[in-house]
Amino acid sequence: MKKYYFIILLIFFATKNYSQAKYQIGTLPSLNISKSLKNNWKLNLKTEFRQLFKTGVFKEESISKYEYVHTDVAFNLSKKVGLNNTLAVGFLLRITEGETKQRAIQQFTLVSNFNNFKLAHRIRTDQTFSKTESTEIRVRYRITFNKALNGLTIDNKEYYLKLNNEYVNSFTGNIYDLEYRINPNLGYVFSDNNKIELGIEYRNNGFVNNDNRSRFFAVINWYVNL
Amino acid sequence: MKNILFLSLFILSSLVFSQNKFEKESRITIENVPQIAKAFVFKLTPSKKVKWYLEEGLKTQSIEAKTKYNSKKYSIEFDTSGQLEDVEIEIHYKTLPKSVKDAINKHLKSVFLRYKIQKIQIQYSGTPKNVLTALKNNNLLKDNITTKYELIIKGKTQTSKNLYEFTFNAKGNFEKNSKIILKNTDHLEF
Repeated sequence: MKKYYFIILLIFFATKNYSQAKYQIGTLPSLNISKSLKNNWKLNLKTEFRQLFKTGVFKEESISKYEYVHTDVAFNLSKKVGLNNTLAVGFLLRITEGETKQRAIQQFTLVSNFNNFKLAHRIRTDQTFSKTESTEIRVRYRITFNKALNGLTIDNKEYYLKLNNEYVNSFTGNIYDLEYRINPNLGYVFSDNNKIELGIEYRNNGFVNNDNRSRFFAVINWYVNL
Repeated sequence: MKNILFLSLFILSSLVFSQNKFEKESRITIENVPQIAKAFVFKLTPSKKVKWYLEEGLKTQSIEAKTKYNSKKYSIEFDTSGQLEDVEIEIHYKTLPKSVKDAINKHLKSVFLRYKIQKIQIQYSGTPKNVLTALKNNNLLKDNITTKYELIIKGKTQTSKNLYEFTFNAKGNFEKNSKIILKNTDHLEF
């Protein structure tokens, strides 16, 4: 329970410290489909749909209106290179109303198994190409804590807790930005190949450039393995 | 003839090496634990921090108590009626007798190109009275106690890297093994 208080406090202080900052509130549902191939190869398709319902500046008037932001469609090809390590490369299309951006992705994941929880480390680099903007290069690190809410391991028809914390370093031309993300989720395992997660994601960026922005998303993730 | 021999070898090696370990465990409250099992654990350890689990295999069910006693992790397994099956204590590899270490390593070297021992448990079984007396008096080399070693091994063969559970007897002679099926981790990767 202490963990939940910690997250709420963190979000509260982040919001308080940047009380003149912009904010956005929206939803971020995603569908994640994987297909296992021979020799530890795997194909993964992830699609994510972002929409906003409220935007504004803290302590000032807000605007409540629906806004479609974008749809992401990502294809990843991964190879398990060790018992707990996976390398992946991918390609993402970000479809907005004006244009479609393209992103190349490279990532390494290490999942450590402990007695009653899992800890996953993900190092990802990506490059986003756009016709209207400079190329954005990002270096990201995500740590994920995953624990069964009943027993020591996450079994079928059981709930679990998943807590993500990610740091995203972004370089666009001469501009550097850092974003941190905190994302607690409650998950449910229908079967080892079918899981669903409900959570909130808090993202904060711009604080290194005095242009702070907080974003809050309601998240639903559905993971299917064919 | 060559093909038949190859096929037989393949089937035999599959039988020896492809037993998969499946276990599902869930927390249970102390009210759902048979009295006889509770009594054994309370006699063994004064610790009040005992967690009880129902363990389900493909064909079997058991009740397991997990606790810490004298800075050691204990897993005490019972059948569903509360009869003691075994007591497992997590130990360090270096505390094994040299002859046992040598025998275990000799076997593992014959199976794997490379391996790493991730966890070792010493397993005691026998009548509840004998096991309890032996554990209380720290006198575990008695004839009326069966001692085994259960190891979790990360092993690399010519074709794959997997996690295995191996059981060796008190002298370090191989008894059985099974491959541990790792769960899908897509939700931690993407």
